[in-house]
Amino acid sequence: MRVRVKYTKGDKVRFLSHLDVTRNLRMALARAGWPVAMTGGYSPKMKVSFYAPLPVGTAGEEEYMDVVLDTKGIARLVRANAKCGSRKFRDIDILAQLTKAFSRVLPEGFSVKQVYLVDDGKQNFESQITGSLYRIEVEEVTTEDLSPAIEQFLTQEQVLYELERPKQTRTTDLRQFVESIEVVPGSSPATIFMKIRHDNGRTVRPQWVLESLSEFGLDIDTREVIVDRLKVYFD
Amino acid sequence: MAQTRQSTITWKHLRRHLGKVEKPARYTGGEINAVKKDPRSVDVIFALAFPDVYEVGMSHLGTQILYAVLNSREDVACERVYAPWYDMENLLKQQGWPLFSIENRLPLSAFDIVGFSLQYELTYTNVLMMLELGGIPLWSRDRAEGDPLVIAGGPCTMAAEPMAGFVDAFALGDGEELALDIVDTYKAWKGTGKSRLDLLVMLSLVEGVYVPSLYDVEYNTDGTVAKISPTPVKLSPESYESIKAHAGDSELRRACFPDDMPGYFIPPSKVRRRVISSLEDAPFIDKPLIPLVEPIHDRVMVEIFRGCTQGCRFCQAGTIYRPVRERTPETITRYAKRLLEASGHEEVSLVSLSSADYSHIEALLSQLMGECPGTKFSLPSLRVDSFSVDLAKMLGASRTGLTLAPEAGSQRMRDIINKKVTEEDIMSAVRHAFGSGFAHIKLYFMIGLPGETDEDIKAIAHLARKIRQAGRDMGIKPNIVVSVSGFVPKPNTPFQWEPCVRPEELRRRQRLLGDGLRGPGISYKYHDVEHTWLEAVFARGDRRLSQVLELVYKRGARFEAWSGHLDINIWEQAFYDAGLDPAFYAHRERGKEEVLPWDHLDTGVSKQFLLRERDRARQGLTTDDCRTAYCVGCGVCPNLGVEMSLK
Repeated sequence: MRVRVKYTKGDKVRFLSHLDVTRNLRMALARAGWPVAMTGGYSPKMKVSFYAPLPVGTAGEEEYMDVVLDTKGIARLVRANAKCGSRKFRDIDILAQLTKAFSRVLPEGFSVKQVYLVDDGKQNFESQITGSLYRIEVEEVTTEDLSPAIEQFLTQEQVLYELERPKQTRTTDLRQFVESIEVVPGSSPATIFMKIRHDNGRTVRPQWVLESLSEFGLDIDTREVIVDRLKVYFD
Repeated sequence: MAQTRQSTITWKHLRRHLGKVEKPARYTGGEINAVKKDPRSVDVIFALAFPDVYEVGMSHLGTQILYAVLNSREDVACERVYAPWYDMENLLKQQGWPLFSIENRLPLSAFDIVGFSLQYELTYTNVLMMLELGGIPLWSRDRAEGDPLVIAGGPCTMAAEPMAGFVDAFALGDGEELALDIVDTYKAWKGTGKSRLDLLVMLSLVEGVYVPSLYDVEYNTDGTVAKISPTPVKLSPESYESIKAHAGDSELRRACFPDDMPGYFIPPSKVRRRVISSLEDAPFIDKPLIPLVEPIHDRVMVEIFRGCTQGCRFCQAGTIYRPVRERTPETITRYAKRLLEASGHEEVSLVSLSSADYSHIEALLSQLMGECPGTKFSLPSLRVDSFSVDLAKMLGASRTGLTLAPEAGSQRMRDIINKKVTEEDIMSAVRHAFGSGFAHIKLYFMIGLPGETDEDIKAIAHLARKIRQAGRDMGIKPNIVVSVSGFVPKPNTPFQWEPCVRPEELRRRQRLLGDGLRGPGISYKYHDVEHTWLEAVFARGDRRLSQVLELVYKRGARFEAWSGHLDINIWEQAFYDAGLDPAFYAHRERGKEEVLPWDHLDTGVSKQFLLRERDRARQGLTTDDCRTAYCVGCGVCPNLGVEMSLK
């Protein structure tokens, strides 16, 4: 039985790495007593999958993880419910119970938005993700400075970005990943909404797009911008 | 709270700039079970300051205990602060921000009491960095009425004279009760309008508190300490009366207010370490701090006993945590279960100085494994014997490997250090390990031990090869790791008078050992000789070294304990500039009659016992463990009024 958990990586925990996010959520599942199915082998791990990882510094309003529940464990929960004299078992009751338990033990900054059953189908959720909507706040730059540079970016056929990794430098075309960029007129700090595509797990960071604006005469210290992912789109 | 309180750094500001540092979540807190009180609602705000990075500090059990103990008091708010990494130090300076606490982001200078944990000599420079970044004058003598009281606890404090210039008061021994006594004393002083000196005097009357500024150190012309004497303090008539009344009427206290010197306070001539009489009844953390960032030891810890009486002659912990005090298996099991539930962890570390010595270790492990299915248990320090191998096997450690610490390669050397295992013990332990499915064995050794010859070094290589061969004879391909550290003579051990081997000689011995270990199946790891050297200088240093610490700190020395962060040139220059010879501290054999810089601090273990042990070491005689044999007369029980407590 596979459930999908829609959760928030909030402002206070934005500086956690993806690895730390997964560690905290796994430990919270353990504290909440979820009957999570385990992998086999010498050191069994919880069957939990995370998607579209966020980098350090970025918060996420609607993030997703899948948890495979152990049928025996669920059966135990149902029996426990029956003992308490609750009504006939329905999936929804158990899910509500699990949601509540999980909510209670999450570290401050995380929250659960929804828990729902998904098909234990073959298709990988990561490949179903088509895009992300980001909100970006930039201080010390006005919307008037931003707009022309962004317009220029959008008129380009391609905008190449060199991503420096420890061992190699990879060149990515940012333009093909950017679906839309909107500057909120007159906002302060200058606020941008950016819709970015995902292509089978490949995507780009909004910070890279902002960095590339230096080609169009606008220098932004992207280490200082506040990025929030508001939504993840999927088929 | 004191009168002046700087404003805190807002989240908005912090958030905007934290993207510039590595691992920013080190500074943002939010741990599960973190306690965030309104600092205005309490009488005393206390900062637990750990002079290393967050991930290291969060794995420290002592901080967790004190955090729980202090926050259990309604009138106290205890917050934490860790050493900022280089990039964060720069950010703080660029932004003009003071070093701030995790919980309420209060500047360090806003606290009433700042308590450092001194776990290791090579973190001393970080203490200076944290004080200065926190807006607190470095030198104790420069602190004024509005500045925090700076205290320090931890194993180093039994001989932390090099830090005497920077620390207002040291807390010696077990902290569970002592921390609260210090808070109570502070509270009694605060608001009375009395001077900072009055506070220090009041603290020096608390058993286990050592106020270095109340002691005068005189030196001989050869640089050795001539005398350490308490300095008479002239108190105002009002303070004199009230402090005297507050001190009660014990004999020791009467000595501090001698009738023939009215108006004067004489600090106690010796400061005795505090011990809690029972670990079983000691406070337990049922709400452990769970960091959101992975700490270096990502598991819950349950202390199964405190103290160790194996009597290894190089080991400081073997002296300064005596006597042995155990917890019952029932209590340990209850705590382990509660911590697992509260944390969501899958591993429990059963902490002590020699876990296989626990009276009911097998029963404890079966009980724990029965009651906590799916949980991993680990024993951090095992003995070198078949029994320990059985325990490791029971815990299912055969995949991860076995760590054994014979410490020395030859029987002669093991007798000198009182490591009571024979080569046959070692061989039967490893054969048993190979037979039980272990293939990875890590062996810890020390080189540079007192009386060591080249033959003793070669014996390490010989032993390692013999162990490997034993595995091969049993038809497996063993993987042996030999990890070697340089011996540092530590204060309060039978070897405290011994010289530390010079870096170039230590390097030669490292190479000699390396030559003997060349070949397949054995890998060899060793520590930087510079670390050994610096640790040897500061472990047994006197208070003149405070000056060296200031010089190196100002010249950029930080994080010396981290591999590759120790710049030897800065240190050598600073010793030169301060007119002090590091070799005087590290490489000189000290005389039996010599006054040692920590002689006025009393661990409870007598100096005669340490001398007797030193003589026995020279004769190659071992000494038994009082846990299993007779009392060896170390003195700790009568001196401190405690008893060994086995459950």
